[in-house]
Amino acid sequence: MKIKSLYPFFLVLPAWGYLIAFTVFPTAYNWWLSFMDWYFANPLGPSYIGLEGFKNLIYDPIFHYSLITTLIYTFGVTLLELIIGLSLALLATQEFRGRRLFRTLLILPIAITPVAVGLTWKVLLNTDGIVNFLLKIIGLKPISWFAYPTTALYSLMLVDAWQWSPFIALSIIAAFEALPIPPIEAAIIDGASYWQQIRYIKLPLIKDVLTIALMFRLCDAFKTFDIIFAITGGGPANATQTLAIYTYYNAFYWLLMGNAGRLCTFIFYFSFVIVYILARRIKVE
Amino acid sequence: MSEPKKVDRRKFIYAGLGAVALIAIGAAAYVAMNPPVVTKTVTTSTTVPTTSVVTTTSVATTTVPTTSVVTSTITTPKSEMEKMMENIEKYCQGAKINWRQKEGTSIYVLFLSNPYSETLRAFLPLFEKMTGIHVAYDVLPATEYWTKTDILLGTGKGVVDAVMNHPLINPEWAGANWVMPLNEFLFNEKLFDPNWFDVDDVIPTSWYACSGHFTKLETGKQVWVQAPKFKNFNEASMAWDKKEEFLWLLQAHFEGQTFYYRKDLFSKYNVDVKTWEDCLTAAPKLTLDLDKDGKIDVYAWVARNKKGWNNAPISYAPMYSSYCDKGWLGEGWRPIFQNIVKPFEIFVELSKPGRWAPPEILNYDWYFCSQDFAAGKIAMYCPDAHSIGSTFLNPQKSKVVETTGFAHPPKGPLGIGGNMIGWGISVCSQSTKKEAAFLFALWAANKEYLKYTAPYGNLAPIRHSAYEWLRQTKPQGFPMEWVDQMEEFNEKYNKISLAGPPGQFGVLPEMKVLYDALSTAFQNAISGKMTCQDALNWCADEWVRILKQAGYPVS
Repeated sequence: MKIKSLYPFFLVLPAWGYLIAFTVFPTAYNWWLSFMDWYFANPLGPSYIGLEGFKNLIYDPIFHYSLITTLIYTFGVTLLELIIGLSLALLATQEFRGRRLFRTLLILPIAITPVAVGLTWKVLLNTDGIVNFLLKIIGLKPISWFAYPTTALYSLMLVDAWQWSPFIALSIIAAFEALPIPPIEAAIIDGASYWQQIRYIKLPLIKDVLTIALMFRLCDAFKTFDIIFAITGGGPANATQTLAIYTYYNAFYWLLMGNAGRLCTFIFYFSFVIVYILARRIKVE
Repeated sequence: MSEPKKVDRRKFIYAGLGAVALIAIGAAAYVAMNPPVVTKTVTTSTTVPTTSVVTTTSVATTTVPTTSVVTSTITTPKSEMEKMMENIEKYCQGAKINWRQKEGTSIYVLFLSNPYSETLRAFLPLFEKMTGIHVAYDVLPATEYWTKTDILLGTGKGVVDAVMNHPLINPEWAGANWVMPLNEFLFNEKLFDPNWFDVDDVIPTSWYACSGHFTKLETGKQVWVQAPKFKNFNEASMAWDKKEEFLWLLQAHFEGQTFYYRKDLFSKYNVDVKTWEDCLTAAPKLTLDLDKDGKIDVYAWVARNKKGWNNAPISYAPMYSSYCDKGWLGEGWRPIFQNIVKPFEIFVELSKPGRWAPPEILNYDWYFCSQDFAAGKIAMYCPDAHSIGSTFLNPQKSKVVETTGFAHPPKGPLGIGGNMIGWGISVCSQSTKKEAAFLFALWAANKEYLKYTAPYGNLAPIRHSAYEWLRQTKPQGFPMEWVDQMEEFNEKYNKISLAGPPGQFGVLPEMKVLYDALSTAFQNAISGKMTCQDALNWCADEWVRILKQAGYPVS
């Protein structure tokens, strides 16, 4: 075989090496771990239990509860971020002075470390915190944002929406700016109102961009860890214990590596299904 | 067809400035109405004898729930510090040990943040000077500490040489061969001088609490067995020959429970608490709106209630053991705690958010509890670790220095209940510098050094001599009633010792996951998601499921 014919192979070798080391191997290792019973501090090491571990997971009530919490959180924040993001994008595409400043400010929440966002909001939304103080000034009753199982998850969703709505907004702004002018001009000539332009012309045209942005947010929200861990640590009463938090507790608090592996496998395939459905939609249309 | 509405730049800037001004005014008003107690620092600085003072500043790294913040500062005149160093050095030179036998070695030591470990930092230069061993010393808050040590020890690479350990965690670490029995050092004349160490000076029950647990491998399954009760040091160390009874850590201090309360409020509102039920009766009298603005200024009760194995279950243990002396598990590994509902109900009722306890109590760990108590916002602090008391005695941390009362936990039908954890230093099995690490542990547990640590926050030293020294010298600001109380606690009230009978937590490596379920049961009941009985039953079912999955023969 000529050296020249191997040349492309050598060129892609670093990328392959990277993929194998950081994607293929960890995924395969996690698969292997999923079939093991492994208490990390057991000197005897892991032992093979086959599908027994998955059976235990199916019968684990905390897993069920965490899964439901995760789904509420994931779809809740994505919907919230879509609504807020779209509103911000519509505002940012208006002609007004200071628009650039507004757009710059939009980027700021995304640039902040999630743990810092979590800790900041934890202080702001404390029962004795500044938000409740302001609510009191305008005559409203203070809210125990993170203190009760009934409010904690929704409060976390608001924090997540504060940080990530601008991402959706920026994606929509970019898509709006790239839209072809003729269809919009035609619509204006035909007497379409502002909302009709948005509803029937602009949104259908940016559907693919919107789908990709939502896909990112769905996957991200599904595995959100840092904000939740920094604010509630999964409490109170497991009300904010998503699958990512439950996996962390299994792995690093209780050292139950087999359980953690099975949860990771579940998260991986669940995310994969979501991405597959959305990606297929883009391809078809 | 309407044109998009244009917003004038000036109006936009004005609106932005208006919003910023509104937030600033709100923040200013908020700060004005809730003045901070003291300033917050997150640094640790130590200057040893060359300067005129030794200052150790440490702060809990958790977020503060209100405006109150706790800072700990030890300031010692240079002359006093030099004298202490001189005395320690002189005492250590009396040992038949060559302290410089490992000169030039560097060791990495990882400790959990508490008054003992923070005080040790100030004395480390003396150890380095005496031994020629360099110590890289890391002190971490509780949550990070347990996670980081598990990971570092689990690598098996000998990254860490010595760690802080206690009997709740030891089954996990010892079973994994992450820490080693110290017995082989104790029989090495080059490394240990029993006369100098003065083994009889160590309070006997603390040996018991530190010696703890061992594992056996039976038919390929790891079995955790109750450790024998060592009467004294000699018995513990001689057990090395039997190859199954080990001493895993050298004790530094112990941790039992003290009931912290506000003497001034108890007196003013004519409250007397002898039993747990008295706490309930006192709660309405001690929940106070002092300035009549409709907002509670002092809550009657606080207890650790954040999700996690080291919160509510730890706070609840003294209450539970004063109602039940049979532990958590009964025959056939079956939970029995769900049958003891009364103390659970009292604990839950007292911890109702916003009623007798702070609204955020379900997110409170001991850092938050102690900060609120130190800020004068709490009347009764559910019995918690002795070491926390040092926070309330420090004028730079606390508004309640003069008004804090210390007492044994309230009584239940079985009298006073409590548990004890002996904190100590373990040498890591994978360390390549084990002997240097042992010398460090030995030095950090020496008699002369330990007595000096008491006034600086190590309120529960494990040596008789430390208490004697406190009685004689009566350090300024140190509550003398504390001294008798500590020794009494140590001897009498160690009922639900964590190194207790088989089936108790101390001997189970699954302790963390079981305790975590118990903490969730508390949260379910306190938040009203479940009744007390339902929460306990749910938890008992969880325990059975967890124990069965872990391979225990649950009947």
